[in-house]
Amino acid sequence: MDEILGIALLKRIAAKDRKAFEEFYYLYAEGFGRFLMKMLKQRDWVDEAVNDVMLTVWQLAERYNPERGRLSTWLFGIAHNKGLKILERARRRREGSLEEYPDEIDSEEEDASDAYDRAGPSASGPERVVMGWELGDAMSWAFSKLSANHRSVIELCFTEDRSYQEIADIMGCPINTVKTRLFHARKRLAESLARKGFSLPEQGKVAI
Amino acid sequence: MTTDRHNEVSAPEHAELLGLIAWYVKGSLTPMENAVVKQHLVACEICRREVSSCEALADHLPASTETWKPSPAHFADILAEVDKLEAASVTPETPPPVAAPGFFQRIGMWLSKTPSPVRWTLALETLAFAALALFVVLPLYLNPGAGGVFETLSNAETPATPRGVSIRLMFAEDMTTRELFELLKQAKAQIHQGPSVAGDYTVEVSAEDAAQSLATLRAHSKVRLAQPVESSSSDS
Repeated sequence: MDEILGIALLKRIAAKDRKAFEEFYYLYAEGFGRFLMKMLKQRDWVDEAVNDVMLTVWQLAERYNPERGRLSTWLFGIAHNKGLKILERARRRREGSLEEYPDEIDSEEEDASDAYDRAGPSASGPERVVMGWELGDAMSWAFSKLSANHRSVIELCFTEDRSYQEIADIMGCPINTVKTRLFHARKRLAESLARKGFSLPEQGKVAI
Repeated sequence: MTTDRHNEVSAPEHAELLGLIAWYVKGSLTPMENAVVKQHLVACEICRREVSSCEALADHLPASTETWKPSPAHFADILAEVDKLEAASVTPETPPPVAAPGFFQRIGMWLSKTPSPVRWTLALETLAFAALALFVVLPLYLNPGAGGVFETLSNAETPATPRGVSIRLMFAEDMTTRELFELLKQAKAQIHQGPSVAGDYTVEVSAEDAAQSLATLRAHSKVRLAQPVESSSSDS
């Protein structure tokens, strides 16, 4: 239903209808904004990325072709691309500041996710479990340690319920790359959890 | 090629099916793929463990601690950006008026578009032409009298129309121009016509000096004929 409404709005946006543009924003921005929040982790970056996505929609609305994929896939593809650009820009800024202030290298390498380390128990290993960290905390920490592409592929598969073909379209890569990327993302996640003495519990018997 | 003993699939097929488990768990495979994976799971312990692992991940993925919501303020920011885009597209910047290029600018522009080998050839040709002009023109300009000596048998100060007595002259073949010049000078004669097809000249002398001039002409060793002619015949 949203898809049909979205395509109708997109046609009006192509004719520069601002009312349709506003409706489109409230219909879709929350969805790809949530995805960008997982990808970028910073609200101001998400604001900027959503802004960029909507401007692209305003400029290129007439280019969307329903025969080539769902509207939401097209939007998530734009969002993923904008998100990567923002991360790349941030990385360059950080590298620039590191060159300017080499003494800050150590502190720069302590990214925001290490706040979990400082907040949690100092010991490593299974004792962390009894010292206060829950599995959910460890998962949040491990997830935040993943690269943007690894976070995105897990998010698209397990939260957004996208098919591997849609994920390939969104991330702009071959299907086999999607499968490989998901494999490595899960492996990294498990390794990070293990470093903190956690592992995902075995699920019950698989219902076949 | 190795095969799965329990399910009779090859190792590559097993790897392919293993790679689909995450989407099997999430129910985003096609019905055909779903059926194939489901059948494979009956006999494949590795893939069953993979299903269990993916289900655990799906259940424990961290929920967003921070959510992002659209807002009127944010949309207002987007509209402001749209306004800027629209303004830029509606009123394209008019380029500043460009003055017509001058003569040397046009030459410079033309040269910049000319391929380098052609440019060098043109430059060499121009230099050669300038050098030639210097060698030919400059000496004449600096020393006008140094040019070659040219002689003429006629005298520009006197009119060419006959006013005295005309005399037909024929010379020996070895008569030089200088000798002819000297003889005409002594005889006070001027060439009026000739040489004709037969090689004779018609000269004019003044009526007062006609006899003397005729005698002088006839006295010269290289004059074969010196015969006065009628004025009417001299015009013909």
